[in-house]
Amino acid sequence: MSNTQLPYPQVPTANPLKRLGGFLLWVVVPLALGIYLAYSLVPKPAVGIIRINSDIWFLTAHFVNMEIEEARKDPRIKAVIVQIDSPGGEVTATQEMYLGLQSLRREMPVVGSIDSVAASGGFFAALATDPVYAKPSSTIGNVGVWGYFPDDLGVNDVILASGPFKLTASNKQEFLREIESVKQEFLQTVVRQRGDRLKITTVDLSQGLAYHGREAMNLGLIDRLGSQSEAIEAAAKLAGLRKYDVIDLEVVVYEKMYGEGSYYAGLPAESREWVGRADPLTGKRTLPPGLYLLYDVRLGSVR
Amino acid sequence: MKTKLKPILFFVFLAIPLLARQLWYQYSWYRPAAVPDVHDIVVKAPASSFTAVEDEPTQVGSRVVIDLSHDHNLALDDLVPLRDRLAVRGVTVITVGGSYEDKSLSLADALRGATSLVVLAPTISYTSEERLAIVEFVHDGGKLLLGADPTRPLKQEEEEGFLDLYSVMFPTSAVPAINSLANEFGMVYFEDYLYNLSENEGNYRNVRFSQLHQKSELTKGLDSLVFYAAHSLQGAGEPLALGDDNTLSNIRTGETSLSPALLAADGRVVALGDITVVTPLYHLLGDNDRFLANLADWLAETSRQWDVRDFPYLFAGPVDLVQTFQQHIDPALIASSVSLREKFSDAGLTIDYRQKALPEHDVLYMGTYESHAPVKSLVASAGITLTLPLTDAMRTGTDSREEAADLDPSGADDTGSGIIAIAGLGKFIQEGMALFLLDQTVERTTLAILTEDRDALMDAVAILIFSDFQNCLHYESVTLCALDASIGYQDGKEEGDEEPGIDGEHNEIDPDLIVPPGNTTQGKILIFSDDGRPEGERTGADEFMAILQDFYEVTLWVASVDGVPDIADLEGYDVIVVDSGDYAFDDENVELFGVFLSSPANKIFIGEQAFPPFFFTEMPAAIDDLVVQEEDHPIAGGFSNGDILKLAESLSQVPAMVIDSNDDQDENVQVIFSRGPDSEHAGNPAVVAGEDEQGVRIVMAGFAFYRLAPEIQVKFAFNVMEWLLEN
Repeated sequence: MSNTQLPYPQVPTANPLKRLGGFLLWVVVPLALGIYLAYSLVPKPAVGIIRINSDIWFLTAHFVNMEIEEARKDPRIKAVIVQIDSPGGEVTATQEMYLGLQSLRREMPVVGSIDSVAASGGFFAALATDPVYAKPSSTIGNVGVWGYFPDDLGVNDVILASGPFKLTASNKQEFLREIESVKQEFLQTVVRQRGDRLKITTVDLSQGLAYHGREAMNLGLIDRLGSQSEAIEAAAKLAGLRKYDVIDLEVVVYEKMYGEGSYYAGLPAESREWVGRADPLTGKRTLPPGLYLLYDVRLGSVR
Repeated sequence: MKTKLKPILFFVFLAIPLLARQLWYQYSWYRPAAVPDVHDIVVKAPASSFTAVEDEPTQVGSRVVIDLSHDHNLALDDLVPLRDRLAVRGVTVITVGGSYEDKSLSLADALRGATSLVVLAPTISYTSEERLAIVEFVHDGGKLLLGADPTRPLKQEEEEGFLDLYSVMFPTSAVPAINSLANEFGMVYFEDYLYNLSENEGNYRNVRFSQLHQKSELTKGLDSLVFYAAHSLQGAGEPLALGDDNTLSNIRTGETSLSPALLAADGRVVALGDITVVTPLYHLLGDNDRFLANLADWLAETSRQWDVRDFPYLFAGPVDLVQTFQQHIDPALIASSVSLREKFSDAGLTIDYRQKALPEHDVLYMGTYESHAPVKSLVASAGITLTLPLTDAMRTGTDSREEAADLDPSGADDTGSGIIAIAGLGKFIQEGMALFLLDQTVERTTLAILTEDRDALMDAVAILIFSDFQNCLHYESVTLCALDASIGYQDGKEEGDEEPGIDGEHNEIDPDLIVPPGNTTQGKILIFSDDGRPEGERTGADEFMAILQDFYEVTLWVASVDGVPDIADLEGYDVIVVDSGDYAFDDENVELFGVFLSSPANKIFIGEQAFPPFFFTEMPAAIDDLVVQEEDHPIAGGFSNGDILKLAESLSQVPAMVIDSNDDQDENVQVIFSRGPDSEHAGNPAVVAGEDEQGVRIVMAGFAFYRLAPEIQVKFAFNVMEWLLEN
C-alpha cells in the first residue's frame, strides 16, 4: 500500500465538544433565555371588567377612573368590558366616566355589558362602549335630564352680592336652558355614538322612555343580546386574543386602596355611598339642587 | 458559521419563544375605530324673548270678582298682571276668600254686583249652591274665567327648608275641583298635560299654539300663544287654541288637535288649561301679554243682565231718587236714606233726591200703588194692571186725583184690598206686598218700588238695603215681595198659571188653611226632622209642626240640634213622622232607619231619600208631580183619582228615591199616589201605605213634604195622621 496524498488540504476535524458548546451558546441558550423572557415579558393577556353598579356620583366616577388607569397600567389587560347596572345619577360624574371610557377605547376594545338597568346616566356611560350587550329584559334608555331649582331670590338690603346670580348661579329661565342643553348633549352623544345603527329619531328619544333590551336592540340603542361572558368573548375577539384571563378591575382597585381582601370584607357603608342614595327601606333620596341623569320615580325629600 | 451571524442567531432564537408565546395568545391587534370627539357636539338652547304689550284700555268701571275661597293654589304675585290690566280699565276687583279679605262675603253675595268672575286653580270643589249661583250668574250675562293648571295640584304642607319631592312628583290632582264648575258648562278638564317634543318654547311642556280662534276677540291680534304644561279640555264650546300634530297629551296617547283653552256658553265662559300663561314672567312670552290684555278687555266688558236682587249694582251711574206719592220728602225715607246711601257708596255709586229725574241719570222711584202715575208706563210695559181698593170717593166718582183716574176699581178685591194683576202670572193682593219694577235701557236704568202705603214702602226699602229677597217672587222684570212673609194668592188666577214659590220655597202655612178633619183622633206625635245628612237644604218638619201642633200633642226632634234618637227616645208616641226633606241618604242613616222601624209606633217616612237606597232597584230620579191613585184610601181623602199635584222645585236638587212598581203587588201595601207625568219614572209609586206583620202602619212617601202646595200639605198631613192614628 502506498501513501497517497489527497488532492485537498485536510480539514482539521472540529472538536465535538466545541461544536456542542457553540450549539448550546447560540441556539439553546437564547431559546432558553427566550422562553424565560417570554414568560416574564409576554404575560397571558386578560380582559378587564370595569363595574358601574350603583347610582353615579363622584365616588363612582373616581373608582371607574381608577379602574381605567389600572387597565392601562396592567400589561395583561388587552380589552375591557364595562358591566353596567345603574339608574344614573349626577351629570358631571356621568360625563367624567363617559370621557374616561372614551379615551380608553382609543387604546383597547371597550365593550358594554348591561345587566338590569342602564338608564339615563347609566345609558350615557354605556354609550362610551362599543359594542353594547344587554339582556333581553334589561331596562335601557330614559334619555334626558331633570333637575330642580330653588325659587328665584329677590333683592334685599341684608344679603349683598357682587352680581345678580352670585347666590343662585342661575334663575329659572337659565336653568331651563341648561336642562335643554344637557338634553341636547345627551341626544347628540347617542346619535354620534350609535351612528347608522340608530333606528329612532331624536324627538322620540327625547321622550325619555326606557326600553327593554330587545326593543332597545331593535331601535339601535344596543348591539347584541347576550351574557357578560359573551361580552367578554367579544372584547377578547376585538383584541385578537386566543387565550386570556378575566380580571375584575374593581376588585383590584379596591384591594390596592384598602388592602387585600377588603373588597369582599366590605367597607363602611358611609364611605362608599352617595349622599343622594335611595334609602333601602323607603326608597327616598335626599338630593341637593342640580341636574341629574337619573332614573328613579321614588324620589323623596330634597333639601 | 461566520462569527458575525452568531449574535443574530442568538437574538433570533431568543425572540422565537417570545413571539411564539405572543402569537399563542394573540393572533391580531386591536385597530381602534374612529371614536366620536366630544368637541364635535354642538348644543344650542334658544333663549326666550319677553315682550310686554302696551294697549289702550277703555275705562268701563265694571266689577270683577276673583274667587279665592276654594283653597286656590296661587302665589301672592300670580294675579298681579291680570289685576294690573283690569285696574287700568277702571275695573273694581273684589276678592272673595283669601287671607286678608272679608270672610263674611259669600261668593253668591259677591256675584250680585259682579260683571265677571275669575276662578283660577281652585283645589276644593264648588258646592251645589255655589254652582247654581255661578250658573245663574252666567245665565244672566256674567262672564266666567276658569283656569286650572297641572302644576297646581292640591297644596301640600311644607316643612320649612325642605321640599317634599315625593308629593311634588305624586300630587293630588285639583282637576275635580275645577271640573265641578266646568262640567256645569259642558266642559271637561282632563288630568293630563300637553307637550310638544318637536317645536317648543325651550322645553317640551312649553307648547306654542299657532292655530287660534279666528273670530274671538280674545285671540285678536295674536300669532301664537305659549302654554306651560296645560291641561287639555274637551266638551261644549269652541277651542280658543288648537295644538298641531306634534302636540300630544301625556295620557291621551295618539290624540291630536288638542285644545288647552275653550270658549263656551255663547262666549261668556273661558276655560284655560294653564294658569302660568297669565302669571309673571310667562305672560310676557310670545303673544301672551296681548292675550292677557284681550282677556282683561273681555272680563271688563259687561254683558250682565241685572234684576232687583242685584241692587244697587244694577245701576250704572248716578241715581236720582224720586218720591212719587207727595211733594215733600217723607221723613221716614230720609231716615232710611243713610243706609241706602251707604249701600250705594259701597257699590261706588251716588244717590240724590230729586223732584224729577235728570235725563242722563238712573232713577229709583219710590211710591205707593195709588201714586204710581210717574211710572205707569213702566207698570204697563211689565203687563201689570193695578186695581185700587174701592174708596167711597172712587165709588161716587168724586176722587179727583190723577192717579185714581188711571185705576180700574172694577176688579178690586172683595176684602177691600187692591189687586196687582200680572199678565202670565196671576193676581195678588196689594196689601202687605211690595212691587219692584226694573227697566233697563241703553240710556238708563229705572227701578220703581210700589207699596200699599208709606210704612210698607220703608219695609220694601229695607228689603233692598239688606238684600233680603227670601220672600220674593221674581218674574221677568217684576219682583213681588211679601212684606209679612206671605203672598196671598187670589182664587181667580188664570188657567195655566203656575203656582209660584218664593225663590223656590213655599210660604208659611196660612192658618186659615188649617182645618182639621172632623174625626181627628187625639194622639201623641213625634216629628223627627232628619236634617243631619249630606247635601240638603231643608225638611218639612216646620210645616208638619205648624199644621199639627194645635190638634195633637206634638214633639219636634231636630237631628242637627238634638242628635240622633235611640229606641228609648221613641217610646210613648203613637205616630212618628220621619221627615228627611231634600237631604240625601247616607250610610249612617241606615242604622237610624232601623231604630225607627223597630219602634211599635205607626210611622211615616217622607223625603226625597227617606229610606235606604238598597230597598230600590232604580237610581234616584227627579220627581215633579204626584197623581192620585187610590181615592178611597183615607190618605187620599179629598182627592180624586187622576188628580195631579204639582211639587215645587227641590231646593237642593237631590233626586228622589224611586219606589219599585212591584211594591203594589204586596196585598198589604197600597199605592196611594204615583209619580206624575212630569216626573222621571212616571207611574212608579210615590206614596205607599201598609201594615207590617206586627200590625204597625207605615207610610213611605218619596218626595219632600215642603214641596207640596200649602193647602195640599194640610190635607195630606191630616189624612196621614187620621189613618196612622186609626188603629
